[in-house]
Amino acid sequence: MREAQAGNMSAYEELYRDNVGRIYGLCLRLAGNSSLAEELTQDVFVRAWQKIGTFRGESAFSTWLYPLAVNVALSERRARARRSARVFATDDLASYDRPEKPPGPERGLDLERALGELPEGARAVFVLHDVEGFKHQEIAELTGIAAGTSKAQLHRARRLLREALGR
Amino acid sequence: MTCERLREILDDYADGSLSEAEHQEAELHLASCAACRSEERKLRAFLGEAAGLRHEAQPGRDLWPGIASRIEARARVLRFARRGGLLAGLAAAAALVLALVIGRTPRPGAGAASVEPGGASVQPAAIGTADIEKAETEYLRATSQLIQTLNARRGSMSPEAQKQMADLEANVAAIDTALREVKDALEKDPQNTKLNKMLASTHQKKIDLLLKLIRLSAQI
Repeated sequence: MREAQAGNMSAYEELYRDNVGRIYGLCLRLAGNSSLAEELTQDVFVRAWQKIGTFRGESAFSTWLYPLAVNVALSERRARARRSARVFATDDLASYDRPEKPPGPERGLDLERALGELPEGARAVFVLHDVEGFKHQEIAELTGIAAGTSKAQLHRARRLLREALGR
Repeated sequence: MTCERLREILDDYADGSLSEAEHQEAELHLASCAACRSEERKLRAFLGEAAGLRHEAQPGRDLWPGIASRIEARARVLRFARRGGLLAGLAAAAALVLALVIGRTPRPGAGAASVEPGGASVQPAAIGTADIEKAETEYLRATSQLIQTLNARRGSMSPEAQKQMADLEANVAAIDTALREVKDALEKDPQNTKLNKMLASTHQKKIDLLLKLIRLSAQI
């Protein structure tokens, strides 16, 4: 860690290799597609390099990196969405396909697919709360929304997902 | 408590965020209502599934080379900024943004390229996106300011530097003409791979040219 903080790129690459799976997994769920997730993951590690001097070693590097990754991924995703005028959100329940197969081993895949179709705000809160285990107050601090909004978005996300999956 | 009310607070019940009194009321209702118990079981199963999703995933390509090139390119920009003044730094930053945008613009059937403004090649990209136009606008603005500044200093330049400036200005004009021609052709045939490659390589030439201007400004 100290070598990376001193500017040693090889040392930083090791930190990257140790953490890329978790960060990419998070970005993939927040972004909803792999190419954007790859870009966001790169953004996270570039930003982390710029801020690595602020890491004091009071926690594991991954603990320090994770909130930064959430912050970068959400703000970069919003900026990119604005630039490309891409529409993530839809409130139209009719756009959610009901699963054709009965529940089985692919349930996780169905859930991942349905997650990708959620409106972005609801998806982000669901991923952070129900998948990653953040509390509403932490989500509020990371995303800049009120804790009450986080809670409302979570309930909305659960409802939409369960309806889409027929569960 | 009614079934309707129970369904309203079921998420909070499952999350453990109800007040003690509400929690007790919900428990009493669930103890006596099979339909709501079934709903609660379904919700808890769903939440268990969400919590059990894998936290890790591996990207489809090695992202490190792109990260390393961006870090190194940024360091280079900072070095330029220190050597060539703030304006040159801004111009280099604009060139970097343009290079990255071009390099990261997805192409059908290929991963994005990592690009740095030090001579690494730019892979052909599907040009014409809002990102590229925005980056190009910034880049042109910064380039124009840099040239104006260098022109203002022309009188104090050595004859050799003045000749270099003149050559670079001629190149700027030639590249701008080439860019206009390629863009015109692309408007008529946007899917033409050769034209897209040509546009990307012409952008790269402008970036290389800008870097030469920056180096020149650092020497003056």
